[in-house]
Amino acid sequence: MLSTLHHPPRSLSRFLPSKGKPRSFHTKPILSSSHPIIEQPHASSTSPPQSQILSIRHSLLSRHVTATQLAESYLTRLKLTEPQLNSFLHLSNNVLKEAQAIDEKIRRNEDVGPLAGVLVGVKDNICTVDMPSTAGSKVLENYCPPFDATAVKRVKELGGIVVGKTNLDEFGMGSTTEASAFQVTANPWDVSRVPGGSSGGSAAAVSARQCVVSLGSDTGGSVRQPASFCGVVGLKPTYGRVSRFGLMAYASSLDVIGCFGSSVADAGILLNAVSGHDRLDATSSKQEVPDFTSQFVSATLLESKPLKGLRVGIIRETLDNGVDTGVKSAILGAVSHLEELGCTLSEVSLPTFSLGLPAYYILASSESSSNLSRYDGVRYGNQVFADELNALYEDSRAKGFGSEVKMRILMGTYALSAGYYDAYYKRAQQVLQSSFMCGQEKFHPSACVRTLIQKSFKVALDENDILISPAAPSAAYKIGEKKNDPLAMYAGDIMTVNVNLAGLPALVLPCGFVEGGPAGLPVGLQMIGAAFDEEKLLKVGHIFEQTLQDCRFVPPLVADGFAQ
Amino acid sequence: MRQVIGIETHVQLSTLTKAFCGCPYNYGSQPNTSICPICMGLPGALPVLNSKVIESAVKLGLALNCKLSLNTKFDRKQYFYPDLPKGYQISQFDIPIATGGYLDVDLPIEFGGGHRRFGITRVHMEEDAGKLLHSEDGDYSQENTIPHILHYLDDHVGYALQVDLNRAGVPLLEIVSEPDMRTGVEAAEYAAELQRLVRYLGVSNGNMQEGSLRCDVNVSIRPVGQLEFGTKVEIKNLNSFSSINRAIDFEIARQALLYSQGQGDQIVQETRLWEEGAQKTITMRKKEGLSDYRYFPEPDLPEVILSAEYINSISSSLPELPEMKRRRYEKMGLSMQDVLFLANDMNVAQFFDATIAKGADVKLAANWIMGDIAAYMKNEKLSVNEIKLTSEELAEAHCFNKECDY
Repeated sequence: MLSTLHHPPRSLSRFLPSKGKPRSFHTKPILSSSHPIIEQPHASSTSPPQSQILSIRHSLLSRHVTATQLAESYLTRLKLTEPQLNSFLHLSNNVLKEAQAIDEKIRRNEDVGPLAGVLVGVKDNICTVDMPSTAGSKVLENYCPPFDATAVKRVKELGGIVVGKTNLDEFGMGSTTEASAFQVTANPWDVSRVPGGSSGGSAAAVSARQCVVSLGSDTGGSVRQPASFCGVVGLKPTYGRVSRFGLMAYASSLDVIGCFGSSVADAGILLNAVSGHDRLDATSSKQEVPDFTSQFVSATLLESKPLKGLRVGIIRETLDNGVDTGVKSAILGAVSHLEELGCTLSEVSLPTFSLGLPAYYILASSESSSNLSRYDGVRYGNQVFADELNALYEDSRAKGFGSEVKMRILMGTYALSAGYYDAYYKRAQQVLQSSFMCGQEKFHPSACVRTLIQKSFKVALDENDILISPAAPSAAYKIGEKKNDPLAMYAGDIMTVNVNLAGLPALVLPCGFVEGGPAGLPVGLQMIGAAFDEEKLLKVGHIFEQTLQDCRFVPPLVADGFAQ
Repeated sequence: MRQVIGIETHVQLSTLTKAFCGCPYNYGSQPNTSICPICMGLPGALPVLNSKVIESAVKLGLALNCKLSLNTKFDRKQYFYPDLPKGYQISQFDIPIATGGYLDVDLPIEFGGGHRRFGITRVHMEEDAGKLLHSEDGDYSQENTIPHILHYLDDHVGYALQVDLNRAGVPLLEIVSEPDMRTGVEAAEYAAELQRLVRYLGVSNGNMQEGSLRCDVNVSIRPVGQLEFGTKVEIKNLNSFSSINRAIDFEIARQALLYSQGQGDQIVQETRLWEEGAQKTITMRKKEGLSDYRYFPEPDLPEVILSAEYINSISSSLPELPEMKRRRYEKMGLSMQDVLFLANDMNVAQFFDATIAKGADVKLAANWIMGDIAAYMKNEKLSVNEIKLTSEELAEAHCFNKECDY
């Protein structure tokens, strides 16, 4: 399996958009659900990404390789790359044991789940029963939860092997993973750069092939922006699609568990595994879960215009000033690629777009100030000895939380305080309660920013099947570059926060490169769909990915490490 | 002087499981034996509403003649205290499930009798907190793997505190009255009627000693003719109806004395504790600034929507309530003394109703129950359900009654 990874492209000029010039599509068989194709050991460096999960399944069931061998090869790579990357906060001691159990089942011809032998990284704010779960915070150092998050439980039930807990910005608050209390994760494309955040560890781990897929969480872009920075596929499902039970809450009305993979198919298969109603999460949806991967079409079977008639809206506001020119041209390249696939492209405007950032930071901070109240040192985590109750709280929290978390708790506490609540929190809300919040309280409807954002997405998605934008205004930047400029860092979330406020699903997939680092830096394209229509995003994303010419998104670190 | 009394009552619901998790609650269990990640507020745990809480709230709301909110929601009330594991209490703020009702009460004959109607401001749902345990050897939780020890010395008591979370997350209904009561007796009768109501409805055991029914009383007085209310004093630690009665009368007398001595300004907004032994109220804490609970809508729980069908089905299943029973007994020709005796205890009322349903004479049956049977129950310390005599036997024994068919 090790040899399936490819050297990254060294020349950038090939990836710059060649507008007007029609491209031909690859016609190699890629993926069909009935006949999973094993990845060719010496696939050409231009072949599109294949589903690692399907090829693992095929290899295991056809006895080409054992789960133990597979796990060993991943662990070897993980140990080789981890000193430079620091993607993981904890590693499981049971990986080989669990792999052996799968091999034993296969030997006895027993059924194994669709994720059998698949190594899964889990963001450390998602509870796992056999490993610490710290959310990247000192306040939970060494804390071991007594239960698995529902998403983790489902992954395990389907045969997935949790390889370890990935690094993150403390409690998911940050966009670089530098706000982890324990370590800074590096970007596999250039170890002097950030992997993005807050799910930077999960994105870097998949990018560097330290694991097959990973779980992250997305409150304002924490899956999509690191996916873009690390050149992997990141999927933020519809709010409520995946149970939040066991996800340490940052902002409850925005948080979702999301999926990383090195192909659209893998992200879709992982989403299949973790989706669905959970009686332990009252906000999880009872909406039916379709097989997200059933519509995947092998590239051989693609017609010349496989996306003919698909209406794609480019969000005008996302290509305004403030977006790097390199990112802009990569997105325009993706636009012409979508046109070649038969899509009808048009510009759409989201007039509420610029309201997203302030509304997001008010709502997320407010909810987090409440959600983080439980970290008081009384029941778990580090308790500071004090001779008086208030001092116990103050010292435990002062020592336990990092500065970014403290800043957001302060902002949120302020926004919820008497006299400010109406001006901030209430004005930034409201979702379902909009009718009575706006009606009964005699608010001018325009005061409810979140409702407005939802409405403007609704209008845009009535006219278009999907909306597209960059996933972030820039590619990965240097470690430390924005550490002392929180506003610049917050501004980087502009592409993603609106989607959380509207609760919609969005898929980010690599679409090109900008210059930087030893081999260029990947750029992610964000596709936004209607609520609970992940299926369409995955179908479009899959075709996009399978037909994208000459773009391989395997970082140099891995390719080099492999050669050894 | 004119007295103004309002009462906030917390009723602990006798649902099988807690409000937001599957833990049972039994009063008096070993500390921390009825807890789970949800009621402990562990990271990642989420609340899921027990629908019986809504059902109980709707029942009580209807029984209190309230207007129900068809779209209601939960809010977070935020403050730090060791018995509050999440750092916030799930409660209701601006849209309580029931508002604007009233409760009818018949005062006991020995206190002059008479009918009163007290307004109900609101009924809302919330969760209970845990309990702090004071232990000198710090040895309470040896059976538990979860440390609940607070490593600090409480400067009042000088020993370590521990937290018992068995009660955390148990559902409560908070009932806020209008400031309609004028005397200790009226307040005590209001509380007693509320206890009867929750017992008749079967939503709570209403036991004051176990804390299933807790009353906090607000008392203020003002000179007759003065429009604005006087300074409000809150009294806690009222564990029986008679302590409600006596604490209020003491407090009114205390405030009236201060007024009469020209020291009305010494009445300050504060919380006072009723001391049963000394039969007086003492200062517990002076008003501590303005507490800001930073309420906001609980994002982990969806809105609660009550349909007309749901409300109708509950409404039609309500039992005969104490007030209706009293009016019915009154119409039967019983004296108010008899009416109150029979209707005050739900089990006695049921026994009486069953007896007369068998054809027994109303007055004779009432006399038997209030006379010999009551005396026997008192001597033997039995409840009406525990005595061997059945309502059939009593009805048969009444063959001397005028309409006996036997």
